[in-house]
Amino acid sequence: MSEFSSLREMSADLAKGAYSSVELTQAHLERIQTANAALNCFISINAESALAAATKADQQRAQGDQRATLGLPFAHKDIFCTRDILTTAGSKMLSNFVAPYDATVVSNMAAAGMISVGKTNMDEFAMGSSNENSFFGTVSNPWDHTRVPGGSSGGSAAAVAAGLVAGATGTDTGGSIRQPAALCGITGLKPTYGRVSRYGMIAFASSLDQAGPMTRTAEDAALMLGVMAGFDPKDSTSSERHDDWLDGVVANGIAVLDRPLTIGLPREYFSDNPNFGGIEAAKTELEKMGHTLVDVSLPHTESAVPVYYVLASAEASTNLSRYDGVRYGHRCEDPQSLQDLYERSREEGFGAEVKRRILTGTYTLSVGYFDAYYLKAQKIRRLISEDFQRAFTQVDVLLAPTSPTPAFEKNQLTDDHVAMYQQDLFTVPTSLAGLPAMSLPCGFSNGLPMGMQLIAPAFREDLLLELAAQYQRQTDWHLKRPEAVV
Amino acid sequence: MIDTMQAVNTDGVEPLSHPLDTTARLRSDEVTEHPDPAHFQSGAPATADHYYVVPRVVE
Repeated sequence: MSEFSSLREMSADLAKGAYSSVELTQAHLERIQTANAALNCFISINAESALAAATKADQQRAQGDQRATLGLPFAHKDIFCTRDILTTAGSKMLSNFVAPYDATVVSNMAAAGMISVGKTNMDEFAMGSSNENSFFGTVSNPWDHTRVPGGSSGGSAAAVAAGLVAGATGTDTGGSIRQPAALCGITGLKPTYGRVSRYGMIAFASSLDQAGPMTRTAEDAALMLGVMAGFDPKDSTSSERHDDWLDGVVANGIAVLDRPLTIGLPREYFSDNPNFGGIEAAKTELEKMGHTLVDVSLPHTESAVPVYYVLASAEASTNLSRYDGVRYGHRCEDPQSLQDLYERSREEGFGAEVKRRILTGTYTLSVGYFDAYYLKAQKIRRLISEDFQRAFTQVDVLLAPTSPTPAFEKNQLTDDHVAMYQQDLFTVPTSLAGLPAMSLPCGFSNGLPMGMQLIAPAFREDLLLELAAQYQRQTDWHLKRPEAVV
Repeated sequence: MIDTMQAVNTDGVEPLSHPLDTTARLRSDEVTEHPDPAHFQSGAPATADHYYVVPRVVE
């Protein structure tokens, strides 16, 4: 086995008995133990439960179980509740929290026989674009340890890029799967809102949050999506639908794209950015593959970042009011009154960025400001969504950059919140519209990976995966590896 | 940054609260789970007789 084997390769090796799931899991755990000191991409390493699950997978295989997912190691972002295992959401508030139940994504992965080896670092409550907001410390980008991995799923992205796992779960509210995937040179898929259950996924902004896979290849993203996705009666926004391609994707892989597509280039996303050499080359590559590129316009793009920060902060301020120091999570020492208990528990438990967003959200929801900010943002959200609907009457998918820059230096943007929020410029519009989008490595800028983003109509992840798999058969950007990780 | 939103004309536009513009699905009001309070409260800072304990609020 190689540390950069894909999930599909490991699946084939397990099937032919080249090694057992216990051996594979042990190799993963050893590599994580060695590399984590430098990268800090794991908050917990769950050796005991992983080896127990791997032993069970080997027994199931001996009894004839041939499922492609059986015995494959991966990691969970530490935002998914895991029964009897610590779930922190990167916060001091939950630094002692052991969930009494499993998230649906967690039980789906376990039911497929996949082995969670640990829980990955993240920006506190998924709020951030650099992973510098974690209570558990900053994650290093495997390509350059002085730089950030992106965020909020920075631990998952770094772990996959460094070859510690071939796949990890992530969550994306305004770009938290796609932006770190781009900055770490991996493949990340944010599915359509409602595709993957949010039950047991610690809430940030409930009308935007969506879980998805982070892997090195499109094929592995499809494999994980096939396990993660599905209707869940426990999530009232879970989508009740059946897609034949999704039902068959674990067993059959991604279908071969058998027709040329019309790919839209939203002009608001492209500029004379010196970092965009990779995506310019990708345009040529896609044309060579027989696809047609056309210019389109998404005229409300410029408003997406402020709209996103109003709506996401409003929802966050509501969701995070549950952390009161009473029922679970951090409680201050020796509270003098109930008010003192609430105030000090929240003051001590939340970090600066989380407090900033709670304050912003509380303000925009307050009497006198609700119409001017919250309602106004919801109206522009509709205009942004309609921009995409209009574009998709002309094109099959859209192509755009994922992030305006490659990975930036640690501490470079920590004092400039607006510049940090602008990192999400190209990812928040799709989140607001609830659409599926995928980031793929497409080249380098100053030796650091850059990503390109494919965006599809709702529930057409099949188009994204088919086009991504075709691109990865023709190019090798997804096979580039950082030097000397461990 | 947020004030730039005011430049957008939204006359006659309905607010969008669900990204796919649908409403949440409701379920029938039936008991589906029988939680074990001791298990659910095992992570609580302070409990007594299945209640959560906080500083006295009534003198």
